[in-house]
Amino acid sequence: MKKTRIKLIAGTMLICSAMFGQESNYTKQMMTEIAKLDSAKTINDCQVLGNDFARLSGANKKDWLPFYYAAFCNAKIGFIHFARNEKASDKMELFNELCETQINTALSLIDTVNQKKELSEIYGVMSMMYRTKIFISPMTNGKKYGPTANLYIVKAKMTDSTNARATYLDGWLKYYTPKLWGGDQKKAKLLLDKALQQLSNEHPKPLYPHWGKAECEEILKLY
Amino acid sequence: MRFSFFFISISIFGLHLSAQTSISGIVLDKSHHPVSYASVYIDGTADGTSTDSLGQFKFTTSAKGRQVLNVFCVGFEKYTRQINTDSPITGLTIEIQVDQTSLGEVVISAGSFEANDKTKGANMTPIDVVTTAGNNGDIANALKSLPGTQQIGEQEGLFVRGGAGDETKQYVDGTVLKSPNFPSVPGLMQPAYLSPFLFKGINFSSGGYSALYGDGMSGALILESVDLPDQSSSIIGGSPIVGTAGFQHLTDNKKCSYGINTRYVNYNAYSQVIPQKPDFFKGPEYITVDGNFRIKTSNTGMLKFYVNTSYNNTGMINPAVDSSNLKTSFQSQGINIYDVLSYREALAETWKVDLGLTFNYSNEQYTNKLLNENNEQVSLPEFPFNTLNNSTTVQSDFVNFKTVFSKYIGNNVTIRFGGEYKYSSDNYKYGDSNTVITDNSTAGFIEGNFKLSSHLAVNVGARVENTSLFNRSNAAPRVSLAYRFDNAGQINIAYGKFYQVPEYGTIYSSIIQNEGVITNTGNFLNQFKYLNYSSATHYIINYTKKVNERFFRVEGYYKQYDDLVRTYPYLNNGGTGYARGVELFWKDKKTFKNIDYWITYTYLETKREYLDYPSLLQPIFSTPHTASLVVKRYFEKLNISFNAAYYFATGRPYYDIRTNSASGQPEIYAQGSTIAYNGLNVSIAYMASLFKKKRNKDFSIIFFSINNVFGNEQVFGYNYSYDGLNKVPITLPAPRTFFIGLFINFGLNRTDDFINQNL
Repeated sequence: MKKTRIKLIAGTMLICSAMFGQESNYTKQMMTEIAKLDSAKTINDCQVLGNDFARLSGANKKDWLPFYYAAFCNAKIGFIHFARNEKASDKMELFNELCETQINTALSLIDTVNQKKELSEIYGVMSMMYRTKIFISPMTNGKKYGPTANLYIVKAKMTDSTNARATYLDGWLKYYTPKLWGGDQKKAKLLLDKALQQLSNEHPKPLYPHWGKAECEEILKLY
Repeated sequence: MRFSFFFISISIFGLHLSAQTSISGIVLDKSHHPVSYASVYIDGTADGTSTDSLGQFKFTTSAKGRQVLNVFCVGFEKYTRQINTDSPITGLTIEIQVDQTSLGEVVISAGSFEANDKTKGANMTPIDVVTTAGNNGDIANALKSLPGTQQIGEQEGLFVRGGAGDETKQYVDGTVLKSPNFPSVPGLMQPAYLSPFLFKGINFSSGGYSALYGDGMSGALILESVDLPDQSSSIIGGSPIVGTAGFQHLTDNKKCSYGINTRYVNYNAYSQVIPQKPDFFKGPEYITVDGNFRIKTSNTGMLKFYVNTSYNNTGMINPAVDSSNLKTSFQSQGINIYDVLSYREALAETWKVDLGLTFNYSNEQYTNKLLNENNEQVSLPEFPFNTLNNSTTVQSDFVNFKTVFSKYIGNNVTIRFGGEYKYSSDNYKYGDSNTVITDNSTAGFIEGNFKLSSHLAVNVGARVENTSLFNRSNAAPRVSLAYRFDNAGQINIAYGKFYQVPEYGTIYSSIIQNEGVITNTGNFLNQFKYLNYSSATHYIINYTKKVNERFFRVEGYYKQYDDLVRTYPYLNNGGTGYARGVELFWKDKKTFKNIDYWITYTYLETKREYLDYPSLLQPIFSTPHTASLVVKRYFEKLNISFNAAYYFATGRPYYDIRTNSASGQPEIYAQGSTIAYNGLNVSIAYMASLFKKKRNKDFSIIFFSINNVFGNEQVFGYNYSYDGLNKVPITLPAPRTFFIGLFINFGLNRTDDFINQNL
């Protein structure tokens, strides 16, 4: 009788400890990867990080965060391409397709009515995903996806006005849009400064998106 | 008891932490090059890593026993393998395969170039086509920068692989585009009726095309019109030559759109500033009003209607070929109305239907006059001057109705079948005579597309046609296949038989050109009705390879022409011919930063015996060597799009063919070859917003272009006098063509669209 009970307790403990171990392990792994985000400067860095988050998402299929970060890494590949003024390659499209699937999965994992903060973050990456499509082929896709990419920035800001990343993306857009088309580098600077301000006021839940500082500074450095 | 519990839990925990198995190895592709940054991991866990730049990986896992190892890298198929992680694994060599689906489906591409929004990498896009410098707003002209076409500058149309201009047909949403261009004017290329921006899909076939299409025995240009626009917009634009205004409205539910565009073109002012060789006493003047209505009838249904009404008036005076102190005047004036209605809908899960209905009406009057030095009409009784005062009116009605059913069987088989009906009635009024050519023709077709594997696709089809004009029928088989290698290279093969009803107008004008008149039209018409289809048999093989942003294609073909029409001694189908050649195409978006370019080379050897050719001759619209280079650069920060196109072609043959009055047979009295053809076209488009402050920002384009920048002399052939003593070169109206214009667009950012539309 007692023996059985002990066995039962031991079994429960085993499961709990395994679960707890894994959970904390997962959190630890996520934290390690998230910490690497700010130093991801090259396409290869982003690809490796994207792989890492994709693996984490495979092991935690219910959590939107690893999908979100994987999508972000794959979208950032496009932004790095753009900043370096390189021509897009075939692989860019594949990263973009991957990004699209991942961000859509992330979206499907949240409660879009109640999780406004999460939704706003996802909209930000969706904007990046559509922007990347334009980088791939500005002549063909500019017309097709330009308005959608802009719309998601507006949506992200509307859903959560404190979203520093949405402000950053708006600043990015203002900076890189030619003056003749309504781009405004002065306004861009204001937006990027505002984004930095918002970032310093941010107190995100553990593992929640906090990126943006390095991105803002990269543009501000160009002034 | 307590002790043992602790013991157990500690030992389990310890086990949990310490039991890590290490796994290491290398990931290679099929040709044993290392694959860097591939993700290697144990299925269902986060245990794994990415390969380094040498393809090597090493990681540890706590998973035990039989596990699945996954390898994933963009552009490759996902790799899985059973492993046992009870003991460390080292030196794994994993070979991963290129993902065929990332290369897209195997699309058979023998003889064809396709440009649509879905194309990837180095493939053509509609924008690539329409921004090609010097296309004058005509897709067919832009396609002259692709292999297989001849540089014919004195006439509109596509002259494909030894075929005449009327042997390449154009189709819009499945049905025949009866007249792509304004009616021909001697020596002057005429603009297209339809804007190139009406189309989202352009498929140019220089042979071996699908059984769904008929009539063009040398080539086909298959166009797919755009669906709903992204948003409402309006445009206004002007230049010394053209004025344009239009709007496009998208309803709030985004399911329906309509629009009207108007265009007025007149070269009068332009020819005052830049002298033109023929003395234009009228125009050239073109007016077009077009309208469209498009509605999404369901999730899968789309109905589109387009109507184009055009008026043209061109009058010009040239020195008479037959006399140094006389002149000839030519005037062409008329209207053309073209409507096309198309509807597509998914009938059931695996069925789809495409309907198309086209109507075309045209009425064109051609007036020829003989003038004296003071431009007064004169009539002289002797030949050939007695034939130079005349007037012809051609009135045409054309209807085409087509139905195509598609049945999808699984993912790999598609069967298409259907039928079409065509009615055409052409009324030629020449002097007192009135000739009506009426044809009711029907066709049925079936085609099966089989994707036999991710490497192999086969297309088998057949088409049967009947024409009431000749009371004849034919059956045309078509077969094509594609095999793709792992390195993304692909071999395409096509065979097909293509029939065409000889065109009365072509034969008629050929006779007029040589004899001045048709003495007995009744007899001529009877002879015409005894004719049969002309035909061509195509054999095509090509190899294509697309890697990243580069595309290479080499294609070889042989074509046999049969039953071509001869005009001597009476109208008959005794003509034959052949064409064979090799073509190269190279497109590259990668080598030069921000520059997209393509190079083509076309080798053509062709001869035909047709119309009045006394024997097998190289046709006047062909030359052995043609090359072109197209360069595009988009300066994103400056908002300037720069396009250049350079063309080279060896000389074309010309003949003085006349009837020997003794034998009654045509004879070549003189022949030669024109000088080589050279031309560079450049266009620059600057895009800006002129009223930035306004709430509805505009998108405006300043467009500038020069055709034949260096003013190279271009001779396309010669016109001979009736006695053969005088020949006059057919050349450009002016050495260079200039264009400058401003187009202001409100609403939609159709920046790229308008670059060349209004040229």
